[in-house]
Order: sequence, then structure tokens, then C-alpha cells
Amino acid sequence: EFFVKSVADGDNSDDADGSGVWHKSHRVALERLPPAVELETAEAISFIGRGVRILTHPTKGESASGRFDADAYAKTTTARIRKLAAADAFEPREFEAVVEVLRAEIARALGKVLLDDAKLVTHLNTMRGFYFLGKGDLFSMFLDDARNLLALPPKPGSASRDLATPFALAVSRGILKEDSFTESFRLSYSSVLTQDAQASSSATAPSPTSAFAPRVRIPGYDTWDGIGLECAVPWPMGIFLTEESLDRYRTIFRYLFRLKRVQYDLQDVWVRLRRTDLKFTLRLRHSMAMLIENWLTYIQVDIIEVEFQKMLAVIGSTTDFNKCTLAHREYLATVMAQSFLDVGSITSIFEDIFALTRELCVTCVNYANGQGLPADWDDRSAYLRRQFDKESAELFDSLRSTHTHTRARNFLLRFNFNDHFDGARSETFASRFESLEM
Amino acid sequence: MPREIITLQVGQCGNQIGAEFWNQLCSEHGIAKDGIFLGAESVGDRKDVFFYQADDQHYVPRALMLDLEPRVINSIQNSDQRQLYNHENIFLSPHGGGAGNNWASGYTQAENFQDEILDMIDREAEGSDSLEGFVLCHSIAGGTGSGMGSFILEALNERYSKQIVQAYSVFPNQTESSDVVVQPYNSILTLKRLMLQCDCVVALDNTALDRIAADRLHVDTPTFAQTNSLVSTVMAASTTTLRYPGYMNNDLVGLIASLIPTPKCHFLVTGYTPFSTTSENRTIVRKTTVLDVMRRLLQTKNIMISPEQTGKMLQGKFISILNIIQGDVEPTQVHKSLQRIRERKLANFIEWAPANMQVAISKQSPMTSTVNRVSGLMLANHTSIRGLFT
Repeated sequence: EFFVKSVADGDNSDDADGSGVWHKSHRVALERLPPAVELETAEAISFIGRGVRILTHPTKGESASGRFDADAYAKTTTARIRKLAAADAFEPREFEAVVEVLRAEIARALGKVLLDDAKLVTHLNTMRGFYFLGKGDLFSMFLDDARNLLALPPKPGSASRDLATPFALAVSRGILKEDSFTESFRLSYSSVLTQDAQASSSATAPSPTSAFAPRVRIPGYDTWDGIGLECAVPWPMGIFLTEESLDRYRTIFRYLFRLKRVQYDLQDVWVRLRRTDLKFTLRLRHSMAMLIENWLTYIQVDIIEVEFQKMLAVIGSTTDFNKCTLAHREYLATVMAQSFLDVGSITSIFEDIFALTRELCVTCVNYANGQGLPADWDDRSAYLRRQFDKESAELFDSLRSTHTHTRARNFLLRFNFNDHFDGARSETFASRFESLEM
Repeated sequence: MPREIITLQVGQCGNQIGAEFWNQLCSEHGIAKDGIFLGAESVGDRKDVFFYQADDQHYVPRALMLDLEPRVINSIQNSDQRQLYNHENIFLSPHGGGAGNNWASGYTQAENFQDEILDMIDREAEGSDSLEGFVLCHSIAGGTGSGMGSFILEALNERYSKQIVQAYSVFPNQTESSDVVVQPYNSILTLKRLMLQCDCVVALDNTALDRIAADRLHVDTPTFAQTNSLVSTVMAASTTTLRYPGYMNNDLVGLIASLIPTPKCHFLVTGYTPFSTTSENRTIVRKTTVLDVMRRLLQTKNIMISPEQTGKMLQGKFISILNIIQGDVEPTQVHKSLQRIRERKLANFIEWAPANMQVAISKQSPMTSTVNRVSGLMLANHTSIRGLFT
């Protein structure tokens, strides 16, 4: 604060309290930037200003002032500035060097606050457990308890409330050591129309990084697609878990949760039909489940788990706030990119596959409830099988041809372990398979 | 607590295996032999799948012990485990004469005492929030495990049709002639129930167990205790993803459904590596890589079916495989290992459907000292299983 005021720079510095300090636009006004000062340096200065405010801000609980001696910092800063000002000419290199030193000190202090006091790593774990379905058992329990609720279409007015009870129950059983953060997680329901409106409205609000945010579309499954996950980020985690990063978490959650529901529904069919004689139907179920589960494994283990450990390694090696933030941003960006949500063709394929699985699941659940199979089920299921085989092959081709440089090859390896997709798309294999008496 | 599992130990073999299984689980979860939890705080494990809490610190196995003669159960009750189990969950026939290796005797005795037995099961089931299924341990060639086991399978099918039933069945030695003449009859009668009223059978072969025990544990004639400990290691390993939940495979359905494409094909083979004994020097940590483990799991000598079966195994093909790898493991290592296995064609898969090759990485209990850095379990659906029936 002292520093920002003492140097004439092009920054906007809004006066606000608490988390507002961070998120108010502290963008450097490029037009007002003095010619010798680099944008990067100016951003660093802005960061310093914000950082100092955070560190000296009296917080509700523990204040960060234990970590940061504001007075001492101000003294050394003023001394350094005075020295620069006393020189005859403006030396950009020296200016940048001084700024860097000041930035590094603030970054370290902030980093320490986050890592030690605010327990950054624990929070990141919690985010992964909830938003990335790391706590698989929690969500399985939720789906168990909410089964009746999810079998009917959501009631627009009360859907969010209806979801609250089974979710809270699942959280209390699944999370063994609850804290205020885990308790703040809530499922929310908003109709897909509202979500699309939100997406387009946020696209109009300009911000430096959202211009590079990919246009994503999550494949649709059923009427409960509108389920999302919210949480209350405790102070001062808000400077790390920014609204932008939360957006990414939310998007990936919606995708993973949808995939999980498909997987759950397919497993439910296995349980209900496991002692029946519907071999063809069950083999189709098996193929569908295999694809979905391999895809989930790919996203959750090959991508999320690996990237998460990478990020933790970076965070573990430094207390520099900027480095940690960067690692976190890269983590989220990689997860988004490697989920291929921005590749329209792949989203379409999954949407088609979801439609096929839904028809299978609904038919089988009705059958298990005593309603019997539709009269044309033999033909219909054969059609589903052909369509599914077609979509699988398309997914395989699409990933293989354009994305072999990505980690999708992990998925391809498991999915095509016996080279089934290379040789077996001929009619002979398909008909041999169908005539097997097992 | 949801997705609970009730363990049913029937007969001499079943109860011996069961006792070892609970031993292992207790040490993994830091529960003392009397059921008191020794750990300081929870480490994120789900004890409630297999245990229930009697009061704050006292954990009780959700297990029923059933036998028609008292020898094995009595020895358990006289062991250091005596305070662990719920004494109301023990059924011993009053006359204590056993079933004489006779399926019919085991079956009819169970029938005669069905009220008592079914009451026990009902009580445990009611004590569960949302029961997922039952795990049955038994041998199929004797009298109690086979006859009483069959009766129980039928009863479960009637009363608990929504719950999954998984069986760990010890199959008899098929080459040597045993002194139990009616062995084949006992087996076949039980197999019918295992086929129709069971959802997943892990086939364990006594000869293979003996061979593995002799090999790995370096003993000439392994005792029952030693071979049973192999089984309990396998049982414990196959439940790690249920007890240390992660992204997936957090429940029995998740584990099993992907292995069983059609209902009747639910007989699985299993393998485990590496086995270690208490006699080995625990300070030596064997270097085991993920590739080592995954490769060895595919070797027939580590698979728990009998030797003359292994010849058939080489001709048969895998339908699906699930590997549960525990320890110091990273997903990238798993990927590389899968690549190698595929390149070298170490696993022969069917061609007529996409192969299901799954690897689940599971956390290890922080409470057990690990001799090996990586260990692995394989559950597989293999076509050579038909050899057990012919």
C-alpha cells in the first residue's frame, strides 16, 4: 500500500476490504504505463500492493500479521525506492530487480500463510475429493440414497432443497474428519437453460484469462444434468481459489458427475438383472460399462491424479505464492484440456453414447420392476448394439488419429487392449459374437 | 453405515479362513485383538464396511460363524481373538457331531436349525444401513461347508435377492484320490447352488495353495494355518478398495460387475504376489516394481488353481482381468507396465469382445509394516475355468 502510492504507476487501486481487495480489478492500465516500465513489472507491483493489503488485513480468525512485519517491510521498501529515486536517470533493469525482490518477499509471506495457517494442501485435497469425485464412496452413497429422487424429473422449485438431505447424509458418512470447509459443500440444481444463459453472460465479461478459456460443452444425459456443486471458500483461500478456478472446478464436476451417474445406472442394471437370462442385453451393458469406466479411469487417474501430484510437488518445493498459483492454474488447465470438453466431435459422441445407455437402463429398470420388455426389444437392443459399436469405433478413431500425442493413449491402450478395434469391426466377428451360447 | 458386507464363515475350512481374514483386517485398521481401536485418529479408511461399532472404540466384525462341530470355533474362542467376535453370531449344532463329510447331512441339519440361523442373518442385516452383500467362505468337498453352505445360498436367494453374494470356495484336489469318497458328489451338489444362487465365486484350489505355500513360504509340508493365511491375504487384498476408498471400485458391485459379462460366467481365478512370511527378515525390503508384480500375476504358478489346470490355462483366454495393486505406485508406471504386457503378449485375451483390463491402485494401510514396496492381486475371468467342471 505504501509502495503503490509512492510510485506513479498506471495501476487502478480500489479501496476495499477483505476478499474484495483481491478480486477488484487491479489491472494495469496499459495506456498510463510509463514507457520504461514492463507490463510484467507493473503486474508485479500490483501484486505487491494487493499482497500487502491481504497480509495486513485484520481477519476474523487468526490474522496473518504474525507472518509479516508490515512496518519493517515498509521501511526497507521506502529505503530501496529512495535509493532508486536518488539516481540520476531511471534505470529500468534496476527498477525491475528491486521490484522482483519486493515481490518475492511478499510472495513468500503469502505462500507461508496459505500453506501453514490456511492449510492449502488440505484444501486442495478436499477440492479434489469433492469436485473431482475423489471421494468416490461419498458419491456412491449419495446416489444410493437419492435413487428415488433421481428416478423422477426434478421439481424446478424445490430440486436444490431435495438434493440437500441425501447429500448431507452422504458427506457425514463419507467424510470422517469434518471441518467447516467440507461442511460448506452443497449440491445445487439449476436447469440447463439457466446454465447456458450464465455461460453466455460470463463470456461477455472481459477478463485477461477468460479470453483464452475454451468453449466447452458437456454431453447431456438426462433431466438431472443441472446438478452442480458449490462451496464456501474460507478466508484467505479466496486469493488462491479464485472465481475463475472455481468455474473450472464446477465444469469438470458436472462432467464427472454425469459420467458417474451413467456408470452407476449401468451397475444398477447389472445388480437387477444379474440372475436373469438376458444375455444379449447384459453383454451390451458390459460393453457400455467398460467404455464409461475406462473413460472415467482415464480422466480421474491418468489425468487428474497425475497432474495433482505434479502440482503438489511444485507446491511442496516452494513457498512462493505466484509459483503455487501458476502450478494450480496449469493443473486445472491440463485437466480441462485432456478431458476434451472443448472438442465438439468427442462431446457429440459421448452424448450419443449417453442416449444409448439411458435407453438400456430405463428399459431394464422397467423390466426389473415387473413391467416386462417392450415387444420389439430384440430388434431394438440389436439396434442399440450396432449404434454403440459404431460410436465406440468413432471414439477410438477420433482419439487415435488426432490425439495420440496426448495422454488419451492411456485410454486407448486399455480400451483396445486386445486389438479388438483394429480387426474386429468386420461383420464376421460381430455375428460370431452374437451366436455364442454362453 | 452404507454398503455393508456380512461375512458368513461355514464349516471347518470356512471358519479357519475367516479367522485369518479378520486377523489381517484388524492389523490393517489398527484394531486390537479384542476389538478396541488403537489408532490415534482416523486415516480415511472405511472400517464400517466390514465392522460395526459396538460403542465408541469397540469394533466388531460383521461376521457369522457357523459349524456343525465345535473344534475350530472353540479354538477361535480360546485364542486371542475371543473377545473380538459377537458371541450371538456363533452357531454350533447342539450335538456337535459334524456332517461327516456328507452334503446331505450338512444340508438337512441346516434346514433343521434354519430358524436360528436365519434369525442371526436377519439381525445383522437389520443392523446395517444399506446392506450391499454377503461374502461366504467355505470348502465345497466336505460336509458342512458344502451342505450347510448350499442351504444358506438358497436361503439368501429367497430372502435377500437384492444383495450380492460372493463366495470364496475352496475346491478339492482333483488329481489325488482323497479318502473322502463322496467328494465329487458334495462338490457337484454345491456347484449347482454356486452357479444359480451366487453372483461371484472365487475358486481356490487346495493343491495350488499347498504348492504356493511350499514354494513361497519355503516349507515342505505347509500346515492348514499357512495355506489359510494365503487365502486370507487374497481376501483382504481384494477388499482393499472397499476399505480405502478412492475414485472407483468402492463397493462390491464396482469390483465384480466389470469382471462378469454374463451372469453364469462368474467363476473367477485369483493370484497374488509376492507372499512373504514372518520368518523373513523384515528389514530387507524386496525390490518389486509395478511391472514385476503385474507380470508375475499373469504367471500360472502364482494363480491359485491346480497344476493340471495350468496347462489348460495356457490354451485358454482371459475374458476380463482386475488387478489391485498396492503400495508405492504411480499411474504412469501402471501404463508402462500395461504397454509391456501387451507388447509381449503376456496375457492372452479373447477376440470376440473388447478385453477388460483394469488396474486399480489402492492405498496401503499405514499400520502394517511393508516388506515389499509393491504387491498385487489379480481377479480374472478365464476360459480355462471350465476345467474345474469337467
